[in-house]
Amino acid sequence: MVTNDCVDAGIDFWTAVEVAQEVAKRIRDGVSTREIQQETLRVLYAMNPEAAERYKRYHSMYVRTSRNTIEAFDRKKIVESLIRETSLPREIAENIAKEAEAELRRLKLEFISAPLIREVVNVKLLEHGFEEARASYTRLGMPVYDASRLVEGEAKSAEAVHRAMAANVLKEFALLKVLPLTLADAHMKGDLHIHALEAFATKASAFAHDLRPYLIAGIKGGSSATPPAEHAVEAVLTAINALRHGEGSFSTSQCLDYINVWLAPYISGMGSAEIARVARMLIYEVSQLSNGEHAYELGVEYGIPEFLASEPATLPGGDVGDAVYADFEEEARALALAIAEAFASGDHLAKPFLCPKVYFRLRKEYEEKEGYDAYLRAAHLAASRGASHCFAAPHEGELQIANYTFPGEEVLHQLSAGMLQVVTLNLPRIAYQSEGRERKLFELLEERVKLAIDALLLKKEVIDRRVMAGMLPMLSENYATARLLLGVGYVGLNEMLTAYLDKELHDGEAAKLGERVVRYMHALVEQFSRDTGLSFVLTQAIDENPAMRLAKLDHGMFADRLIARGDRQEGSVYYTHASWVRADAELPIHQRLSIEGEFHPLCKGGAVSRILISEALPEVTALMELSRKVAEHTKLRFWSYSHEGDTGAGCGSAAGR
Amino acid sequence: MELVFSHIEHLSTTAYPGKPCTVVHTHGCPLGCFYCAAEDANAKKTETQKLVKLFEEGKELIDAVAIAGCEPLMQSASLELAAQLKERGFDIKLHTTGYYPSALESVVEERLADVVEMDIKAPLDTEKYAMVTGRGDAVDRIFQSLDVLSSSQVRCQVTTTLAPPVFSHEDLPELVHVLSCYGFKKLRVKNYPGEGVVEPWLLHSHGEALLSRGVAECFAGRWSDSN
Repeated sequence: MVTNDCVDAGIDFWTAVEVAQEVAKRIRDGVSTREIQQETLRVLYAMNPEAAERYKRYHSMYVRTSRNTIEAFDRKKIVESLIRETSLPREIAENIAKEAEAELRRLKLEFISAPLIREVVNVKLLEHGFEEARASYTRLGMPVYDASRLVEGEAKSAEAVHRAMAANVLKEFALLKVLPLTLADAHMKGDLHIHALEAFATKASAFAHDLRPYLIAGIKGGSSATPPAEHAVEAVLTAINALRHGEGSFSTSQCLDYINVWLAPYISGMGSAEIARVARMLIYEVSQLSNGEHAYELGVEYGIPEFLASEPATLPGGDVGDAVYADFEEEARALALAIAEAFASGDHLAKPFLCPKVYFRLRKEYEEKEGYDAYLRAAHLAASRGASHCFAAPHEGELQIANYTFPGEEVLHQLSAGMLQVVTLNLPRIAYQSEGRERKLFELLEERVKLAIDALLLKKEVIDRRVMAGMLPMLSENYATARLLLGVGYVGLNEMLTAYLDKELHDGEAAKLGERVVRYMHALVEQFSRDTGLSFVLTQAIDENPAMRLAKLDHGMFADRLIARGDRQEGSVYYTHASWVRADAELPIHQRLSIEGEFHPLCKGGAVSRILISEALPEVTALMELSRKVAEHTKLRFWSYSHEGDTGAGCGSAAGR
Repeated sequence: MELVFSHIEHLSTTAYPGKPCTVVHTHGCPLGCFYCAAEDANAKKTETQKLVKLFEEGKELIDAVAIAGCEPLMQSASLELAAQLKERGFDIKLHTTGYYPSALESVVEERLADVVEMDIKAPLDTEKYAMVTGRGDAVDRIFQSLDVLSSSQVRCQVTTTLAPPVFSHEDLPELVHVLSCYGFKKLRVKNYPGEGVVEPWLLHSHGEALLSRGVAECFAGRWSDSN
């Protein structure tokens, strides 16, 4: 060992042998490597000071490790890590390690870092053609420059810094290690967009909780387990805790639908002032959870919907069976009104609530109920003031949970649902690549849908493993019973038609092709659902990201034929959301909603139309009447009101971002 | 019959009291108010029949139409449009400057509108009206129109636009007094966003005047009941 150490340091062989013989006389059994090296150095200094200096330099390279320790460089560690992480044969690992060490010694640094060693080893791997091994060996992270910018002020808060850095690593991890090359490339090139990529390997996307199980059993989280709620305040806190703990399982949004129905038994006997207090508490507590990235939603019914009337009610203390929800009709209505009024009032600074988003469900059966007008007025007052809202109108035979639509009203003792993942297709690009041929258009469409399905199937496997490992407690509790969806989204139908036909969605001929495109996607996802037993759905998941990101990528790749909105000179381009008619198209509202309404029944994973209002302060009575008519005379399932110039919902939805 | 218009606002929640409505902005006005930009808009033409057909298709969602200015009563096509839509069950609101009292009388007598809104451009003084509108004969016509409206059964709304220094908040008490003599109880006041925009508290301090929020929201905000 002493001879080799000397020769490695550049000392001639015979001197090395002499040194080794002298050192052997001086050392005893059990001496450490470091002591041997120190002794060797002493002998060398006595024999040949210049050689001693060379030896010292050679064996004085220290490593700042990833375990935050400082250790002497040891090539064997590189070899072992290569074998462990890349499964390369030992001989190759040793060669790579040797070359890397030589490279590092040429730098003549006293201290080197673990990342530097990895970079040099990765270069050696690439030089020898081991690309796959390199992908497994590379380090994930963020350049120091980018991290500095984040920390020094680009991020809105310290928490946002932590999240951004973690997201960066996890995105890289998903692209390098979880997604196969075809899917990773498809996302990066812009054929499709994998939503919430940073959570692809870890969490489900969105969830709508049924509060009842938590009211019955309490919530286990943090360092304690809560008991079943005994009264309204505890019930609200149970709801809040469900959402808070849910952040650990869901990456984009959560909803508490039918919230006033489940809370109705808990406000029995309360006066209107107390009920108002409970409603305010609910709105504020949910709002306070908001961190700008995760979205929260509530769903409100005016009273007890018919299909839940005979369901056994969950009572204070978690008891079930002594009453049905129809027994709490008045309480449910009172709470619905109180929630709507609290929501409409805005916060303490009179700002409209941007979180939570509240779904106000309109049903024909509610028209006859006392006080419905006041409730609708409050809901539309909130909408007119810019609060984050959505009006919902289920059609005959449909069950809505958050933004999802399910057939019928079965399994009513359990009304939770979730979106595991959404993958959005870049429709305009399909048009650019179709070269004007319809057959190619539909071939590409099918190919991209299948690619999206592949990504979703992979996600399902990933989530199965995380659930088995106990990493997603809030999802695990519901995994067997919740209605779980896998969403195929789409962006830019209007631009697709313009690129392909030179006509927009609101032109009759283009509308027909647009419908065929979406129906074809719908048929494909339905087929995949039948084949796999999983629930694939089309969705119009609201998220500005794919609309902008995919348009920008196309701006780079298909600049000569790009059809997009925004400023091309500045490069700030974007596509129209899903199958929306272009916002500034001069079109009577009945035509606009008729076109968009055709797509709502096809998008069971989430759909919404945005009705643009030109006035800064819309008149509430007129809005109410409009909503009633939209519910009765159009095919829309979900709609919201916004002012011209609003760039987008940015509000997420339980359909997944 | 051909209607000349500048644009159609397909959805307004404030142009008709309590109902979502479509607003047809006609083109052409006898007045030349110095702050008005409406005349700069491109004029388009269409057969009233086409508009009626279009609106009828969407009647399930929108069954109210506001026919607004410049000055709808400058064209008989406006009356034709109102009549055809009324026949088909639409609620109609008509805007006018009051410059055509005879046409207004037809509207009222034939019940071509459910609501009429008249916009007073200046203090009811010949010289001041001429300074704002460029018309020396406007005031007499305005008084005739006020006569027509005050003796009609049609729901009416009166508005005005302040245009300092010619028409300031100090002119409001006199205007309100005159209007009250005709039986009008409320006046909706808008600010022209030029020099001397009147502060809300000043307007409030002048009795019956209601505050609006600026010319940009000329037809926005909440309508109160008419007289």
